Amino acid sequence: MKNVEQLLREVPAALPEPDLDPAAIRVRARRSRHRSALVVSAACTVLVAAVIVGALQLGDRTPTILRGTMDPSTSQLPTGSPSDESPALPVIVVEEPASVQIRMQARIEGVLEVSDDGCVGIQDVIGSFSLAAFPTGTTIGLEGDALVVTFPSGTGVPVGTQVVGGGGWYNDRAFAETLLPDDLPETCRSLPLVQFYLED
Amino acid sequence: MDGPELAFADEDPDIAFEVFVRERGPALYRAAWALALDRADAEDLTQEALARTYRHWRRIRRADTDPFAYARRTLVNLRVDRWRRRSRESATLREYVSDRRVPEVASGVEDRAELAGLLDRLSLPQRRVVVLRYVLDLPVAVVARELRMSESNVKTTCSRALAVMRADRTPTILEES
Repeated sequence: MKNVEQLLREVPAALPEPDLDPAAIRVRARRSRHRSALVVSAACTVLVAAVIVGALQLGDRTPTILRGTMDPSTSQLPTGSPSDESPALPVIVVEEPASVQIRMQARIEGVLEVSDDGCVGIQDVIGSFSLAAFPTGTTIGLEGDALVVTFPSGTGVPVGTQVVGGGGWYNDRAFAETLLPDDLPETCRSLPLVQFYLED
Repeated sequence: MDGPELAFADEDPDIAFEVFVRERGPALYRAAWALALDRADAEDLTQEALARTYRHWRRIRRADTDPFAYARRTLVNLRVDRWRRRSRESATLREYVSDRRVPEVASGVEDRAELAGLLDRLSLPQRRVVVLRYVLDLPVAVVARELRMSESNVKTTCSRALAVMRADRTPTILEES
């Protein structure tokens, strides 16, 4: 008679080999990414509708701006950093003053991250990555080994940091396109675009 | 078993991922089965964990993180999500039915059914600890780090889980004898 520890070690090890096809898994990963983008898009649509309805109901009420906070110790995801082979810094999208008509008021929460294609954005709690549009004057640079996004207020936020700030997703792709720099990688261009700022 | 660090072909993420699936996929599947107690669910969970790992592959490798550790954490968290959506009883029942439909892999079915029944009696935190500690054969320190628990908590949880399993096993032995 096997003891419990033997059962735990031997029974799973004797299971038939699973049918794991790397190609099928890669397809699944890509579909999952696409689904996440659709979910974000649908959520944005609802959010934008709610904002519009709210604005109509509240008239000229002064908007409140969420205070940005950060806590590097809570970062849960692997952080991106430039490799030795590619010294170029990741691409950061900064909104030009003339193009920004409003500061959206949603609470944006996630991890400041660099996408596989080298674009800076926000990875939200459900794992969806959105390209970030930062306020005019935001810069990115290396501080020691850390990749740091510096906001116009002077606050530096290392990539990999859990951040909470204000902003909102640009649901109108045509308008979003006008905010994107010409040299942005095509793969980044197709990502959802989120306005993100910390309080000045 | 955690196993030695794999050497990946960094210049081609797809090839590196294929090596990873081939080398680590079966271990993930074994852990998934012990969490889900159902072969079809286990395969689905394993594929999902691997798919999510692949989505972040470049960043995982760039950050010099162990992809197997990343996949393990993903798997455990996936199981947590699904655990809340379905009953444990139905999962166990499906496993029995599934085994009887596949006579060619019936060897070890009795042990498997017994272990599934014992694991089914554990709470989710107990099962997660037991799976990482015994099914994947990870050291206590690694289990503690991956589940964000203290090492003493891991040891205590393991000890209590094994006690529950041993206690639940006694009536079965008496019935069989």
